[in-house]
Amino acid sequence: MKTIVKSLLAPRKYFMQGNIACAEGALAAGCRYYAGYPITPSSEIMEHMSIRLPEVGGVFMQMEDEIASICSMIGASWAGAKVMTATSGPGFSLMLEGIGYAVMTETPCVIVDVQRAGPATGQATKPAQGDVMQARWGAHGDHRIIALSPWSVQEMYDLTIKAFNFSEKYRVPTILLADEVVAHLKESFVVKPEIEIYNRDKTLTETPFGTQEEDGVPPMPCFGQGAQLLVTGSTHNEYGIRKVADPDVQERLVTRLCKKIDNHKKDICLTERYFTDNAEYLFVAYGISARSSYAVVSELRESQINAGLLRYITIWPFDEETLKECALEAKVIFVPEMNQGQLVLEIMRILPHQKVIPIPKTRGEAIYPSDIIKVFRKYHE
Amino acid sequence: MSEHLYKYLRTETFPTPFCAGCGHGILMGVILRAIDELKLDFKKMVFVSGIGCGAWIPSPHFKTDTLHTLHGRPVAYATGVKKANPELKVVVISGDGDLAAIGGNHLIHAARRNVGLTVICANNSIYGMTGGQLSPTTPKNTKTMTTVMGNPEEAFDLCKLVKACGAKYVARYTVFHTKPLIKAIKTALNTDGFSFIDVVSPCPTQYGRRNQLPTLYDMYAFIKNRLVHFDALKKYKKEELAEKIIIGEYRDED
Amino acid sequence: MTKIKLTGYGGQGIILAGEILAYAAMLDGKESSAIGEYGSAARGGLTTSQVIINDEFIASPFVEAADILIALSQEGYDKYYSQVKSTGLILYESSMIIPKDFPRQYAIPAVNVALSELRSTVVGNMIMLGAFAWITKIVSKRSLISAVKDNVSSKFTEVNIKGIEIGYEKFQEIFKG
Ligand SMILES: Cc1ncc(C[n+]2csc(CCOP(=O)(O)OP(=O)(O)O)c2C)c(N)n1
Ligand SMILES: [Mg+2]
Repeated sequence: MKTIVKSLLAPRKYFMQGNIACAEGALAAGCRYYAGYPITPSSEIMEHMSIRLPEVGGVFMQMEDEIASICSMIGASWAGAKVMTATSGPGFSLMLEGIGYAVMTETPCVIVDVQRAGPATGQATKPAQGDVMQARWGAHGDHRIIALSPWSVQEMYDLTIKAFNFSEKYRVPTILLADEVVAHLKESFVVKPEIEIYNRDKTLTETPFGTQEEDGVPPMPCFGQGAQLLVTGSTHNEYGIRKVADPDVQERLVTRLCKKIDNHKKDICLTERYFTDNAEYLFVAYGISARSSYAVVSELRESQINAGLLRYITIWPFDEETLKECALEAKVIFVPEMNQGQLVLEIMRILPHQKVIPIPKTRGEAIYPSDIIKVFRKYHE
Repeated sequence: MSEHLYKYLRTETFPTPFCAGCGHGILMGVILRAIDELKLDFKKMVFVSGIGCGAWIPSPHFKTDTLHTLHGRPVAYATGVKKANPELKVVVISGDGDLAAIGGNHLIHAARRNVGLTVICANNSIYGMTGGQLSPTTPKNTKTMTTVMGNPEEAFDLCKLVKACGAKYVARYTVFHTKPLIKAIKTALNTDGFSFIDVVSPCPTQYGRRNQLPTLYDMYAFIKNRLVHFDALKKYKKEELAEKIIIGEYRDED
Repeated sequence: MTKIKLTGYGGQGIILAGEILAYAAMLDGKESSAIGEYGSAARGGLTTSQVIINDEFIASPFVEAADILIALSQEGYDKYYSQVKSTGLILYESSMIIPKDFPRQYAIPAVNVALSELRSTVVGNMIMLGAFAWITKIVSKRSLISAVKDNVSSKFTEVNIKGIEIGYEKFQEIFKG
């Protein structure tokens, strides 16, 4: 249910680190349980939560590892709390089985992945965008998640709130796919007096795991409410009864888990366009890479070059329609990413007949405007 | 199961999936009797389990909130449930492989944190569900699907382990000791803090079969011959205890 | 838009100075961002802060070509002076740095002044900020002082504020020359 609440922080302009803004966004959204395991570059979120949660009557737990973190938060979510954990690549890998479990049991929860340079331990303090595909496909089995990509401290706050709202509304794990730069960046941002939040529907029901519609989201009563919940990560019918060999139940469940996201893309998919009308050179970017792209596009526009930027705020599910619209007139489409080319694969798939040029960077550094300009010049006659 | 316990059960899910001779059904009844005798509010209880035959004891049979989780993780889930709503009575029921192998880390940390949980290990010394592979509680030298020449490793004494980690109440009985087991479960449920009960449960199908113990009676005899009470430990030399099953309440050694 | 790089070694308060500067700009009603970067050594390694101050939303928060470089160590100066725009400005710590050719740069003895006037080994950074504020007028001294009050633990606010004031007053002759 949608409601308007007062912000926890006094409304004004703040100068804050991205990680702290994320934690404050979570608290504002109503997060009252956090479980985590320390890892650079996400630890400030956990440290801040450890101080702030007790102040607002919430619970903070430092668990023995990331597996325990995600599992305990799923347990807490069923006990009725809004829950979050934060980590980085190595911990995110450990959380994948739990993410799959949350998908299957339709448990609202928010996972913040502050991406750092990998694989493995990689460069702990250095940024990357290498977990884009892992976020989408990491958990085994066919499934959907929602992933949002913040590009500023403002969005570390705003999108954390959005992540909670989507997660509660669609009963799906929602990933805030941040990176070391936005996490440690300090900049000014605004806290508004009121925010819109969404609280899950806790109506008592016999069927908390199924709906008549093939894309519906059932209500979610919590433990202790008398719903006699049968929560299981095994295939189950609408009552929660395990059906581990029934093809119809398996099909119906997996279809709904996917369609409840796919059929609500209009609500979930957030993008932003800058000068994309008739853009000959289209930049498609997300997260901190979109900041550099925006700088480039502004500069090109000043030199009368028809460049535009399509920024993905929601990266999963992927908004295909908006991409097609913005790419109509595009001669070249550039996709700068702090990886060897991940989201660009999706773009190439959707625009098979257009010139799509990846701008990869895996130096443990952000993509700077100069990196993008360098590639652009090769294609601009 | 005696009829006065039916109110706790989704009888429509019966018969249970347990094999002939399996001890998990007895354990199910024993747990419910302890709860019944304590007159606990079943609606305010949450049963958390992992993956395995033992994990099926509460889910889907218990007619209250159940959380059937990932293999090895029920204690972590239960920690979240309890911390988020301390008014709920949270009980973990899962297998030896689940709690002590893949989930061993969660078990020791929950004991150390003294989270207010009761953890009941349905310990059949084997991976029952996946076809009888070695578990960390398989007795030394006995045979499993992955130790056909006999288990060369030492088994965990889970009670000793959990006690050493700070658990407030720890006990072990077999499913053949229903009376003391019910009493122990009641004590555990009344314990303020972390409590742990290791319940030796026979698995003739996956464990007995490979160790010339194909029937429940064989398993019973095998288990009975190995029993030593915690209070009688002093009478034995260390070597003599190697193959024993220690039952009773594990108290602080002085 | 003004792009500023502050650089020095770990322990000189470079990251804090960058944040105080950006925070002060916010108090002045501007948009601002700061990215701090520590070297690999925990203490004594190269430390840099990238600060941008702008009237509207800051696109890229990275400082590639800087308008202003504030350098407190030779290593930082050597690494970044060539990235300063030719129309730009460099303020460097004169007791630590042998400068190279650059059209507009000033030697500021911030560390010595901190020692002699404030008996402090750590407020060279604030003295530099004071000097910066006077010569560039990009942030107000008042906001810098408020920024210190909001971000520095009360034990150290006084000495940091004095640092800013001395920096603001003391080098006006140098800048005129
Ligand atoms: C991550 C993971 N690894 C392996 C399995 C397969 N698996 C299912 S149950 C089980 C062992 C169960 O043994 P135990 O916990 O002792 O329960 P029992 O069946 O003996 O009662 C295993 C290995 C799994 N489900 N998940
Ligand atoms: Mg077992």
